[in-house]
Amino acid sequence: MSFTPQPWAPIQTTQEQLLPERANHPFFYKWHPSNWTFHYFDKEVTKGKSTKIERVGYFLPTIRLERIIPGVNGVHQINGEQGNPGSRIGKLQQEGWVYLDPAKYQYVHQYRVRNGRYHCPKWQSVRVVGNRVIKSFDRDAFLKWSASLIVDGTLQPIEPHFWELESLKSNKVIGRLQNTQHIPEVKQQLEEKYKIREDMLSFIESFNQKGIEIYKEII
Amino acid sequence: MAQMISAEIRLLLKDSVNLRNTPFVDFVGSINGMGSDTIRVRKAFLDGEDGFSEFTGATEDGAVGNKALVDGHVDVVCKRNSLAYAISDLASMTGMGSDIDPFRIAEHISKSYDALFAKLTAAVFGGFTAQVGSASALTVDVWVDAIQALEAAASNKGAPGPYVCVLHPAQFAELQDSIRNEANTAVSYSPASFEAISAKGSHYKGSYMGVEIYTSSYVTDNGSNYAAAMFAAGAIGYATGMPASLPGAVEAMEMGEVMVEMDRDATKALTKVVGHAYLGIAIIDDDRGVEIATLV
Repeated sequence: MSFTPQPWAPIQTTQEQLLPERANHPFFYKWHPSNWTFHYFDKEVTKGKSTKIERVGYFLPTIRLERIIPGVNGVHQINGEQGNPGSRIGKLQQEGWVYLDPAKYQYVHQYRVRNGRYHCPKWQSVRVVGNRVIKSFDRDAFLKWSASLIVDGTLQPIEPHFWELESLKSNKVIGRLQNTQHIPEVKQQLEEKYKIREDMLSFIESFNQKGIEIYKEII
Repeated sequence: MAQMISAEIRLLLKDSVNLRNTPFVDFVGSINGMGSDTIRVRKAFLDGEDGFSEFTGATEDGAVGNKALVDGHVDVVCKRNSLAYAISDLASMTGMGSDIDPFRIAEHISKSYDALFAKLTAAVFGGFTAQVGSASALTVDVWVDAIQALEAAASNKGAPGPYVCVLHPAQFAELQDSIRNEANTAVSYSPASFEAISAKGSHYKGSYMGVEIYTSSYVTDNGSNYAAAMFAAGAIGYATGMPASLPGAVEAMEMGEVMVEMDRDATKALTKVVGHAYLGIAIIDDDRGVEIATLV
């Protein structure tokens, strides 16, 4: 009796590539009208025939991230680690927060990881080198997105009072540094703080003249 | 013999220090027998807040108007948290003494509750409305801003101290660097003593300007900023639950806040050790806390 051999072929071993990161919960962004931060952007300024890049400061809304974790801040458990944030969002809106719906703004990215999914903002890029996760966040793009939400009227109300409070905070630092301004390094820090305070005040003045149109310069 | 096995198992580093047994986190109740998985915490101005401000009568016999009582509530929802291990008879029987056996695993599950509590505590910090910090590292200036935000909370009524701060370890390192660069020695940092660490746990780092400091690797970030917090007692509360009986369970033990039960799969020679804990945590009074957001 003779047998017919079958040609050998290697067994296909396609191992699924997973991000070596812990699973985490999905999230949403929110903003409270009192939360602002002063940021600088490079802006092309043309004077006469010459164009140069200047650093210009803007007050931008501090958009904050809240993870939807069952058992935390009134989030009910739906299934396992899945939570229903409905009542939490309602509570936040009652307290004056603006809820930025992830389904509408599409800012959540997810990766498959062991035992679940890893959720991060779309501005965060993730690379894996030597089984180590290297994350980087495109802060500039994120800030420009937050500025665009002012321009399209999503984030309201815009109240310069909170910017004035921020500029008053910088006065405290200036007062403290003035005591030791004979030290060259402190003198330099002091000058930087003076510049930031001046830029804050000039931004408030520009906003009072131009309104939210001022944010169109950076988006 | 290929290798000698040491009799002692060295424990790996852990991060499970939490504020459960401190005055900084309130126990708001158990859901057992309450008819719901939610504890509703009631809040009201009931301790002399109004200062007779309603009397506006222009004359001696003018009528005083009724004052509405200011009140509110917060819901603390409990969630089932579970952890299960299966240990084979072979692993159990070849163990040296009782180093890794079902009862040691049960103890491990019970202790994991501390890590769960630390994780959920850190998860609420991003819910505080007040926020300090900037697009920079954590400095003494940001630290002072946080203290002053609490002192000026609720339209300058102020949150009563003492305050506690839970920082990401990287933020604490930045604060240490900033303190080193301070020229002013009027406010000095008090590092945690051996006795204080023994009492409060390995992640207690001392106090600065009267604020107790703990670090926690569970402090979250949004890719750009950490969400740590400084808060006063009464800011955060938690609720728990514990099954009263487990009909049909072969063996069940109440270990602290965790119900641990054993299950046997004889066909596979496996003993399963399963723990359940019901826990919910929430911000009770938003005015008593401030988020410290500094660059990752």
